[in-house]
Amino acid sequence: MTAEGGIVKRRKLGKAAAWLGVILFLAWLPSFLPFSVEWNIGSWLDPIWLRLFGHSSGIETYRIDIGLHHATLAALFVIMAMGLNLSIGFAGLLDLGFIAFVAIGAYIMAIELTRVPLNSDSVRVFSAWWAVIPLCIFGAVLVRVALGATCLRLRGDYLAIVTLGFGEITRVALKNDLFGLTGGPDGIFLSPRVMPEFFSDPEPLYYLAAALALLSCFTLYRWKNSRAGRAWEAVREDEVAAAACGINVFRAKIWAYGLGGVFAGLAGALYALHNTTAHPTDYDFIESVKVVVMVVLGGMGSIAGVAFGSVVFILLLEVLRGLAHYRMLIFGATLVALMVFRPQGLAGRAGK
Amino acid sequence: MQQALNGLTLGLLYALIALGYTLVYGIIELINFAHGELMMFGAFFAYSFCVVLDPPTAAGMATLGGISAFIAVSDRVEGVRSRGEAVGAGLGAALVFASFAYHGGLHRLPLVASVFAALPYAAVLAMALERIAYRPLRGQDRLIPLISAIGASLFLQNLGQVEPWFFGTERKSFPETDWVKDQVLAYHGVSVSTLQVVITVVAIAMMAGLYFFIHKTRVGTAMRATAQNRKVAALMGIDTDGVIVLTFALGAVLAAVGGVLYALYLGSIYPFIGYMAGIKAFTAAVLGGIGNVPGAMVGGVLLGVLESVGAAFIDPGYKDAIAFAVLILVLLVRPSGIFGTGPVEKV
Repeated sequence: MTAEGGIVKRRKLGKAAAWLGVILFLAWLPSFLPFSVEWNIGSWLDPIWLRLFGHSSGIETYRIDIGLHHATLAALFVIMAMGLNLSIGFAGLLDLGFIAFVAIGAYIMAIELTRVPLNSDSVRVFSAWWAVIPLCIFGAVLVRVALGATCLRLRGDYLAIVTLGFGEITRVALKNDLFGLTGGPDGIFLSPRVMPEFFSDPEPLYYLAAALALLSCFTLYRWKNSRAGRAWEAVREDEVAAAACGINVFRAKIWAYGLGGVFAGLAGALYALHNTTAHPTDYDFIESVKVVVMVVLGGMGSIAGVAFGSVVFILLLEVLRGLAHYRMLIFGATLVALMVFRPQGLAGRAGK
Repeated sequence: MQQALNGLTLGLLYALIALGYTLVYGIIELINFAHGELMMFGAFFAYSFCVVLDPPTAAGMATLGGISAFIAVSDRVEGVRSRGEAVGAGLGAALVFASFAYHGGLHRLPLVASVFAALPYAAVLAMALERIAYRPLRGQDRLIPLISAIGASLFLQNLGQVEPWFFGTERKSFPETDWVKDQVLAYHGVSVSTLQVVITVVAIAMMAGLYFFIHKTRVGTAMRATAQNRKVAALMGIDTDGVIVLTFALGAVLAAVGGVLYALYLGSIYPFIGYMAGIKAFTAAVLGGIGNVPGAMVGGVLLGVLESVGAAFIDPGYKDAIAFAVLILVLLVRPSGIFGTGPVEKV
């Protein structure tokens, strides 16, 4: 065996060990949750507050609760972030309306669960919940490909604003009870009666989401260095040069964009089950921004980085929850600071 | 007909706000997502001068204005590079401090005066924004300043909700006068309110003023040169940083006036006022071909009219979606907007 072969083998072994470690950690995670910390902050907050506002803050302790549903949420956002990473990170297509496709998945799931009748044994006539997931994915991909086919010829910033616009159109349409199916501004509530039995306990959903998040990461990891992955990278770096090398730029873009829909639809279906509702305000512009931030936070195009970034981001939002609307204030300021001081993301390497 | 007329007024407002987007984009190719928030703060400053001036609001405004003014002029103190800028900065600071002094007495200003008092605040806020969130990122990948802009937008939007210094989260009526709804003209069921006349006159006057400024003054020439090629403009002795700051300030002034008129048009003011108006104004700018000043005006008016007429014909619930649907359709036919000159591929 040559020395080089040894290194490659060791590297492969190291990667396998890392995957195994993550899998074991995720499998054991539920036994550590819920987890909560409490700080007594009134003693130092009150004097400041009194001086600034003239009355006591009324806050004595600061409490952070991390439950299993946060882990599930983080896993779902990892799936979404992977889908967006495919567009932004791999192919360089800025998408500011990603959450619209998640909404499509979620609403398909919710409509299936509430509208499709049950038979006398309380079993859904047409499909089980897991059989709906492919439909959610199909719906999201279909709409995404349709939008991509019309808009992917646009230049970067124009694409960004068109996707943002599409996100808003979707939200407005859902809010206006599209086809009489989406339930208007109240959304669709999944009552315990229609929720699949499988999810009466929160753990199965967590394991499912975590497994699919891992699968998403693994898929992207496999795609990154595939023929298509290299084509995407070429298109991202320089469209003209990529075209000169014989890459069909438009086809590469539409593949990257459409495949992002797979992750969106999948995450959407589970997101509806996780929230036990499909509600238009869950799919605001700010949610798209969150997913974009996860991708940028982790480092565009990096897979471990984006996964890590999504988890950190969800945890951060949870930790800051006690601050009410100061949370988004801090979020905004952090975003600016991050871009100024570390534009390549937490895990990304310094610029070329 | 009535809808088209209402749409025309709304469109002029969009156009006024869209100009800020298009000016900034024309010079540094950045979608200034925080522009809607600048508009919100402009309107809020005018609102506080005009309607509420309790001590916390005055303190909040003074602090924000002071910090912004400090940041905006901080790197100019040593060796001021151009006389015009020094005069501008000095004037801005003087106006800000004059307003502080006025706050001391907590007087209320009449509406027009409060708009003028709010302008320097909006301008220094925009200048500080450029200094903190955008200037350090020049030359980075395009996505980076865009994310920073979204962050700045979120920051400002939520800063506006901080009570008791700023808005709070509720909707407030603006202002408590009823002249805005008075009809000045009624003809065959079509009526025009005083406000609509005011909006039309102010918007057109400001656009004409801007056009004159850009095309007939030395500073305007410098702006156009910087927009064409920043490096070469700098070689010709133009202070490009100063021009960029000035562009932001100019955009903020237009947005502040637009914001006040928009708040009057809605009859109320709230921290999210800048969000939808900002996005739609940006859509208008893209519609007209972003970076193109007459394009933004035409795009704004077109969008306003289509939105009002469309909402009346289709479904008022879909009002907010119409603008974006129009955008997608127009970009399908003309990928760089109505007046766009086609994508400039820099290889």
